[in-house]
Amino acid sequence: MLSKSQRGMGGRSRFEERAFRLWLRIRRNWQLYVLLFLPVLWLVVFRYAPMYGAQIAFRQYSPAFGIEGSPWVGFANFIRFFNSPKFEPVIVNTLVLSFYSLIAGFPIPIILALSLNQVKTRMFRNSVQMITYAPHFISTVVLVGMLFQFLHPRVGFTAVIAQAFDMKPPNWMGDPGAFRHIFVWSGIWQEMGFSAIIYLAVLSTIDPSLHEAAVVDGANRLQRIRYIDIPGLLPTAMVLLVLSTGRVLEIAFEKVYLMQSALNLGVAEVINTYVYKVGLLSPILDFSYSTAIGLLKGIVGLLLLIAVNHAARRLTQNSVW
Amino acid sequence: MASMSSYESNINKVNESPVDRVFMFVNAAVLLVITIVILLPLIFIVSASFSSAEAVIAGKVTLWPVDFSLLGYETIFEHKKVWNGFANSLFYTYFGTIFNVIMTIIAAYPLSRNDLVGRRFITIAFIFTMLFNGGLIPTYMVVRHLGLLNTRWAMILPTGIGVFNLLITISFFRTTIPPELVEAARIDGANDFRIFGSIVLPLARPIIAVLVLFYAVNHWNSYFQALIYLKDQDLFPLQIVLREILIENSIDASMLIDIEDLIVREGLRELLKYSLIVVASVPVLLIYPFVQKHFVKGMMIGSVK
Amino acid sequence: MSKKTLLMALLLLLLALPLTASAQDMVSGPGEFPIVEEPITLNILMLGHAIVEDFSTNTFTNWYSERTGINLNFGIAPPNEAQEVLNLTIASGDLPDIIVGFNVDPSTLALFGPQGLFLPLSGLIEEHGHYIHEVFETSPQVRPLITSPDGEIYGLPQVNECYHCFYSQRAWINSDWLENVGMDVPQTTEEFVDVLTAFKEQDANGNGDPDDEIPLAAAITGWNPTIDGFLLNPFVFSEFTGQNPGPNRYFEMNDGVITENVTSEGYREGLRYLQRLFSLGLFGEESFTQPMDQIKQQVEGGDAPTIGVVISGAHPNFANIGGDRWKKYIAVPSLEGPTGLRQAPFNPWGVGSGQCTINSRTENPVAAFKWCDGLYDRETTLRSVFGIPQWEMAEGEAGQWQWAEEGEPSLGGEEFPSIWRRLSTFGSLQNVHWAQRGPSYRPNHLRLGEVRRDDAAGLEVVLYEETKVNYEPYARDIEDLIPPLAFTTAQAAEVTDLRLGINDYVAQMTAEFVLGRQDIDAGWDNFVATLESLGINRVAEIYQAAYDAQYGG
Repeated sequence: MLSKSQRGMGGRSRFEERAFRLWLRIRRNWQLYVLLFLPVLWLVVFRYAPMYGAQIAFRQYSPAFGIEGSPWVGFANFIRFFNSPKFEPVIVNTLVLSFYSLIAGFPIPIILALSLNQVKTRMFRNSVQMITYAPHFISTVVLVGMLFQFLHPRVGFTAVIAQAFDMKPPNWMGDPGAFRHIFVWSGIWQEMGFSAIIYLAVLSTIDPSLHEAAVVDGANRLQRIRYIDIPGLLPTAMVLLVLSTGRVLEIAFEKVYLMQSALNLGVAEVINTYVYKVGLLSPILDFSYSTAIGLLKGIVGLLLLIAVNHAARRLTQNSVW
Repeated sequence: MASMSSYESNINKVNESPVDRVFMFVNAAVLLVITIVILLPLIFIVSASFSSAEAVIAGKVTLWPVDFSLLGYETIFEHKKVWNGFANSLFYTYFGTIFNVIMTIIAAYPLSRNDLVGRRFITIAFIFTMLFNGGLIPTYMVVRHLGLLNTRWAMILPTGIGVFNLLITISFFRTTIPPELVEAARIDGANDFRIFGSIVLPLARPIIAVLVLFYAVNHWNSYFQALIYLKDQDLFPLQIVLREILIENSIDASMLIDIEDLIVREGLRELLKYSLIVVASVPVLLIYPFVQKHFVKGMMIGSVK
Repeated sequence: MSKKTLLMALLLLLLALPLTASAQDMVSGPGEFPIVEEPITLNILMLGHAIVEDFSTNTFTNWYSERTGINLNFGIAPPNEAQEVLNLTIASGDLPDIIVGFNVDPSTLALFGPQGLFLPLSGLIEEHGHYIHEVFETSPQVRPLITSPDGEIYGLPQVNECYHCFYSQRAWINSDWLENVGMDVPQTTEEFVDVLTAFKEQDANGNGDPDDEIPLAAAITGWNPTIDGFLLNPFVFSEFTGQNPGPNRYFEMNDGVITENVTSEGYREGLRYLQRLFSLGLFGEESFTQPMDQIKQQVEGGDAPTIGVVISGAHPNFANIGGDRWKKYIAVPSLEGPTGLRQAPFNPWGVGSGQCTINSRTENPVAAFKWCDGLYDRETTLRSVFGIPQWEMAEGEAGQWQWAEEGEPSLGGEEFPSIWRRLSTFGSLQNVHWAQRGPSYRPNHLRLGEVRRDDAAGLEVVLYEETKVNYEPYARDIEDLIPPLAFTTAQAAEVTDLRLGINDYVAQMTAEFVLGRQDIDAGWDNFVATLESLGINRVAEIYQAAYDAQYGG
């Protein structure tokens, strides 16, 4: 009895020792927790409190009965999605389109920022920045309208150019092989300037003495980009890459939907256009179904995010948490 | 000269090598090509917005207004709602951005400190909400329970902190504020509030500029929140009003269409498509130079350190 | 479940009894105004409109408030996101007293009505209705259309018997071109090929270039714009089309039996015909991908139009109504097919369901109902749709409409005596009317009883006359049309999933067949088999069940 309690006491005291040290660290930083209080309160109220509503994915939600009053249906809403004839093509199309966007769209703003950072003429640099930033504000409807206009086989620019060379004008908007390229590159056209801003900001904080030292050592500009600027951007780039992978299933439906036609449906149906069309076609609103699909997207996103974060930590010693 | 950063001016004293000169030339040329590719469609939009609807319909507009006309702009500004929406959007953008930036900074700094107990847990809790949310209805109900429905607060409070922005800021603090600096300040007797106020905030200028831009653009462009939380027309932001004017082109085949209605739709759409973009984006384009300025300043503060 | 419904019904009954009793004391008799002695205020969710400046200060709002004694506290939903706002409002269970101006779907009403969200109206209609009875008598098709499968009515309609809209699957041919090639308007599918061929080979638009003519064009956006709508009807019944195809597309009803027709020999024959047109170069591949905007450009641009025939519901879609070129485009009548089949799809319902729904928990159910009922009155309808009558305007100022003088010619000709005259053009920003939002009653004789004018409203006359001659005579028998159907939750989910697969597959395969990327005859069996595996028979079954439930089989 005695020895047992002694052992117990000894264990507790080690535990207490650790707890005490932890407490010291917490107390030492108490002001940081004060700073964090409001953000965490906000997070709980506006983000976590509504999460109880995600349970409607497992119910047949009816507004007349409320969230708790609606009948449980188990995994029926998920099974409905798995059994849909669209399930497979929609998942494949979403992943392909999304990873293509990510792989092509991710490095370009970085390159643009690095390149702009080298420009010495302030006027030129500022004008390029301003112009590349502007397309971000073009609405999707107009952007797609312009694509249809510019690429039209009879009245578009491509038609004019093709005719000038006496070629048959291509109908790119109807070519399923061209759909992904048009989608991704028009997206890059629209967003690269806006996405470059954060990198420009980070580049502006790189310690100038590093560059000065490199110049003294005889490094040329490309070498300085390679050994100073890029490592400086890496932590930010990694954060953005990891987070973007987590959202890889979230392709904004509007642009895809507006670009769809009978000729490219095979590659142009993604999860979010599918959900949108279900809502459009369905005579009765069905929040449970879309919530279930949302939950599914979240799970896939989470797995991808964890995997990529793990890889990033191994390869670059950067991690978002 | 304020326009030249300190290191550029130092480096320019050194003669550029031929490799660098070639590189600079190629770099400038590539940037020029990119700029032109981006600029041409933009010019098209602006030209179309100043052309007559007939010219736009007939496809006559390329890079210069045809049948110069201000009708599109006149039609937009004729709507009393537009002016009201403009004022509302300014309000939401101004106060919303202040709220967002403060929240993000005070969350990001503690979370960037490696010695903070619970740092990982809280960071992951934030990221988790990027992937999972309760959905539209529960969020709506929370906002309703708080009594924010149909008030200006509903446009400001629920946005709070953007996860992307938070993590960028955390990463920024981690790379620009070395732990040794914080330690040194502590030994000098500064507490965390002081460190935050006198070291972190001044160093954070470039990231604050970026946050201001991102959040402001977000507020300016947002309409979905207004759609859900606001019912009172007097509170509608500009984007809702503009979308209301620009009736979309989708026609439900199963519905009957009155020919008058069709004429209204088609006419307004053709007339306003391009002028609406210009009206909606000029204010946010104008803030960019002010934000840009801080990137250069940030550089100099960095060198002072 | 059934216990719950029973309990709910009992509860509702208990609630409704004292309410109606006490409310009865406060309100006027059927059709009498003001509705309430002491002014009350109703919360209303209204669908906004681009050309209505402000509903709360609107002239019609004020006039109707004064007439009824009921004030409105407006919530406005932006028109582009109507469905989102409506869904959210319903889904949150946070309903205002009345929801006005949305087309609340019959299935939604049929589901949430019995669950107790929307007030059942048939009792109120019997006891307090006045103007709605006139609607039911004059337009007998309305009542069955708005009645839910359980026999109740949960939403009041907007009735707009737009004559030319009933036959909106049309095509338009340039009369100058016909003249230049010396041919008449085609009547059969073969004549149509001949005309298009002539357009292609000759300098039909007369600008000196014989190669710039595109004989035929269709689009993917707009009003019945697709290539596989109008042109399939000589072969098989082909319902209304567009980006969101009509609910019954690829199906038809004969003697009360609903079957799929996309797998029929007629459909196959129609595809062969389209394939032939394409291979002859009479229309381009872009007809499967372009929005209407580019057709407009080819009609309005250059020194002459470059498109001969456009598939579209009406001119504003493909031409500029402010210009002159649209006037050259005259109707191609419903074409006669090789088997002698000649038909125009017909959509005679003209009823926007659920334009006024009442919250089951409102404090003033009778007053709210009577408020909706009063909007069907003829003068009230004209005020809410068109604006202020001339007699209320000051000297020298123009109102929006007035009653017709004795003997003025009407839009509909001798058959329809003139009733009213329009004094302004619909469509500019204003604050005097509701721009067709909410319940209203515009029967055929009222629409066609409009005094004839030859100015800007000329399009209405054109559409009326073209429709009368070229489409109405070939209308499909009303007995053989699938009316709007209300589904149960389970049916709705199943139909939605199946239709998504079917719609997309048929659209894709139609394009492949017509463009010759797949051989129609070689690929046909596989096409039919795939459709069967996608559950097309099941859809027909569900349609049949829903039809039998609602219209008594």
